[in-house]
Amino acid sequence: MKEGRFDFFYFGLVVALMCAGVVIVYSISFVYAHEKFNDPTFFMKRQMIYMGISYAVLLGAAFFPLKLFRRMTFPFLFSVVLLLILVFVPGVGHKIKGVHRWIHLGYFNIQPSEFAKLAVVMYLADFTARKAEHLSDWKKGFLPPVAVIAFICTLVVIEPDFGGAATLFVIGLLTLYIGGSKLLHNAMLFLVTLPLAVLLVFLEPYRMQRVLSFLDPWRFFSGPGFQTVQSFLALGSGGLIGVGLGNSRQKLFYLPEAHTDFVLAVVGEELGFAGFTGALLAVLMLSYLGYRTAWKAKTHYEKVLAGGMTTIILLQALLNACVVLGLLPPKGMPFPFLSYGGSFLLVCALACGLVLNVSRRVQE
Amino acid sequence: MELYSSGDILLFRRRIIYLTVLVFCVFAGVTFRFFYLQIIQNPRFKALSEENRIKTKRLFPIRGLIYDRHLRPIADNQPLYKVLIRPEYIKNEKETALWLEKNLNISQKDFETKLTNHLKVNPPFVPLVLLEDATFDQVSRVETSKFAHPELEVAVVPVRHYPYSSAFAHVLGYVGEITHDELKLYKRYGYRIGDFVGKAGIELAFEKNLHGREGALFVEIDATGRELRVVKEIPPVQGDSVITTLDLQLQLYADKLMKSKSGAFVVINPHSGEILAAGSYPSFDSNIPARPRLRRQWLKLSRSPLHPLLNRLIQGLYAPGSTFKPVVALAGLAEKIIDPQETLVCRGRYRIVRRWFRDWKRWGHGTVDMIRALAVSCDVYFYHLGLLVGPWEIFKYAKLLGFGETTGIEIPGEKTGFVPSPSWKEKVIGEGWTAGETAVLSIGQGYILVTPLQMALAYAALVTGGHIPHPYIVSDIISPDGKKIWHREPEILRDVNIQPDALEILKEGLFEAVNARNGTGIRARSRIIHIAGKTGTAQVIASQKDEKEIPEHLRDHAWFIGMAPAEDPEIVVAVIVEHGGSGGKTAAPIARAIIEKYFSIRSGESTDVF
Repeated sequence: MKEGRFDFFYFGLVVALMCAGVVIVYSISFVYAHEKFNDPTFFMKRQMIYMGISYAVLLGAAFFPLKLFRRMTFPFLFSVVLLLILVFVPGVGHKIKGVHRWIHLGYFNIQPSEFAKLAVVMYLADFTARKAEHLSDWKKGFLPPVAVIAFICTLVVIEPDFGGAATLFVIGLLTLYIGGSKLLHNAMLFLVTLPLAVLLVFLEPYRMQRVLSFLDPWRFFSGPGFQTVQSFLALGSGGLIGVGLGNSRQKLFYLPEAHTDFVLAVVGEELGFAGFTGALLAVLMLSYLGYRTAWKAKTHYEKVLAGGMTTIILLQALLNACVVLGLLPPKGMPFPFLSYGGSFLLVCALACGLVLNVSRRVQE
Repeated sequence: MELYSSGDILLFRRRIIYLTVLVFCVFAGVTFRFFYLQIIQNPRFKALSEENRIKTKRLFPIRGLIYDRHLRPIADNQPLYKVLIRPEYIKNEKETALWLEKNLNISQKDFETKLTNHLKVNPPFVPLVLLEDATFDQVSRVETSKFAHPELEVAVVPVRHYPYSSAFAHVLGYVGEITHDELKLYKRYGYRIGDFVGKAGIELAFEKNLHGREGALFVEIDATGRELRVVKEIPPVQGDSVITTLDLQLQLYADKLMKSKSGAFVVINPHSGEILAAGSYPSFDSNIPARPRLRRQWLKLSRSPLHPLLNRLIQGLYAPGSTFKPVVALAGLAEKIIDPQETLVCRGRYRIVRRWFRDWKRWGHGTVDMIRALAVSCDVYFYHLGLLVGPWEIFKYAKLLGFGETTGIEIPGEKTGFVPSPSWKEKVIGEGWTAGETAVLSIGQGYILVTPLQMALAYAALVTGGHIPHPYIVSDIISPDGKKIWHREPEILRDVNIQPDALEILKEGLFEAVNARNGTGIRARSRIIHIAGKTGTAQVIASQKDEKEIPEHLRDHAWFIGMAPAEDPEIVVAVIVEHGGSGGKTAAPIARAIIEKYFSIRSGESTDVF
């Protein structure tokens, strides 16, 4: 791999993951799609359209002038905040299962909270680079970004999307850490936020249920725990090499949202231990390359941008794997590239495109 | 550009390394967990995964109808309403509980325990049955509160309904939920728990025809049992209907006469064996056992000291009393032991060995021949005749006429009754048969026990000259699309050879009993039609007292067996009124009324159903 050039290996890995995503989405959803929309390729077709757009976005982000991009930081941040508020406006916001998470955009729904992750990383890269010398200062270097993160997280929490907010918060914290803020500050903030999160869990009965069911999914089998149990069943029946692509039993309505949050479970069932580990390894490889780019990058902004973007993808992948394995309570979080869903695929493509962009400039 | 200082770069790189190490730790943990789930626990989860299946929902068939002889339905089906609640739609449990207490009379505590127990084993979208059999009022309360209480639902299943409630109870029988033992019996016909099956009467005898075939809905379900879609539907098949020989009008009329009494009646065509009307009393509303709402009433009925569930028509065992006398007369005539013109002077008592046997009439009937003896029911004549004929001949003719044997009617549970013989007594009681016992048997008392149906059939032999038909109630079975799939032809059950001159004497005697001066059945005499018949009084206890002085439950049973028109009878009617006193007073008027009604219906005069 030659530095200073377009990183074809990274690019190839991303494209391969996106293609695998289309195949897996089809394999998982054709029965459900046929049932619901009388069209087995319903989800696959949409995923292919998302993939086409994401492909363009990936290349666009890889070759877009980074300076210009950095200038768009604040407009982007503001529009994300605006969209997060707009989801509550009737007529614009789209309510699914009582949750304001989407904005209806003709043919598609977009989920602003996914874009918020990008916006936060962009903002933090810009901020830490601008205020590099004040970073260790509590008032000047730490509180302003934390205030921005907290504000956006609050908007996401009241959607309500507790999991999304928590992820966003951790991404922000890790990006700040990469950006050079004091470890002590981060740790303190974490300790302050933790009781708040616990309080939020206790206040909302369904969240409490989810956490309880996560602790003992079998006892809550018929209630909130059954997703996790079904995930176990899917993974457990896969064995070493799986039951074969397209042969999953669990996706036949037993495992709800198999094509989004629990895609890994079905991958584990159909392709076995090999498939599951393969998917994780691919993301890990992507992260390794991303962090290496950050390592080699010349400017503070580029380093934090590449590191933060990589963190988005890696964190999502790990959290999703933990949910599927019953290590974390289920909370509506897709797996990068493999899960069905346009917004998150777009975000991942943009993130990877930016990493590519940074890696391209390493020797310039 | 803000380039990193060398120190910054070191810090940054250190942080990237920390992060990477952290990530790898998490990754290792995840992989280990995954390995544990997928490789180590594989067999367990694989088996569990196989349990996710397609569920079948039962579609209950509609039970076939039962019609009277003119195709008027006497048993049909009605919707049974159940009130269900879907826990997942409950907005405010407290409020719902309050509403239920106020409107459906379900106490809050009851509801809460029910709901908690339900949710222990069921996911919240599985409905809980609150009322198994809701009243119209309750259903309308639920329906009008649909908006405020979307969690409440009303479900409908067909249930057996008898429009004339108690009038046909003992003939048609009733249905109820299948029991464990019945399930074993019906299992191979595809019956399952929760099915309703016939428990008695025609409902039981024709269960397999009436029941129909259950349908099924195959529903794909997810792991929790939530229904996703219907994969396949097999519609239920309605049961076959049956047409009976019963006449609704006659039955309702007779039912009205018998309702306040205890006993039984039957109206039978002596030539064909068709049963036109029949009943046992006290009766009960046959709708009760099928309705969950009325469970308590049903329990009370089954424990009632009056035994309303006993079908006295075929299970009630009574001494025939004087209605047995024609059998003794027949034995005497057929065996040519006595000349019917031979007379005897009755002084009200008859001496056998060293004991006096009394006549029911204290001062006697004077000079009687056989016809006169039948007409006034002279005991002394029959003591004498009985002793001449002997117990074995009486036993033989009683058996020939069908006593001590089942009649073969479709209604299950028929008793045989009992005809004593000298050898039976020796074997079972260990004593020799005495002449006194022959005398007692000759007037239909003592050990002999008969059912009202047997009595009617024995008299049918006197109408037909010795041919006793096989009694039946169901004449046709028709499929749901209206095709006749089975028709019953009348058949002769047994043949008794009765010479025509003997028959004439007996008929004359029975005619005189109703129409002659001093005839015991004088109250059966009709101005519309000639009726012949015989009264009987079955002793409950031996007593010299006037019947009014005896407590009611110890009073004699009143019998009357009649036939009309006397010249060529079309119907035979048997009536027994328990503790009714003498047959002439209580049973005869009822029989007469039934017979008159029969002829007014036949001539088209009486068209009222109620």
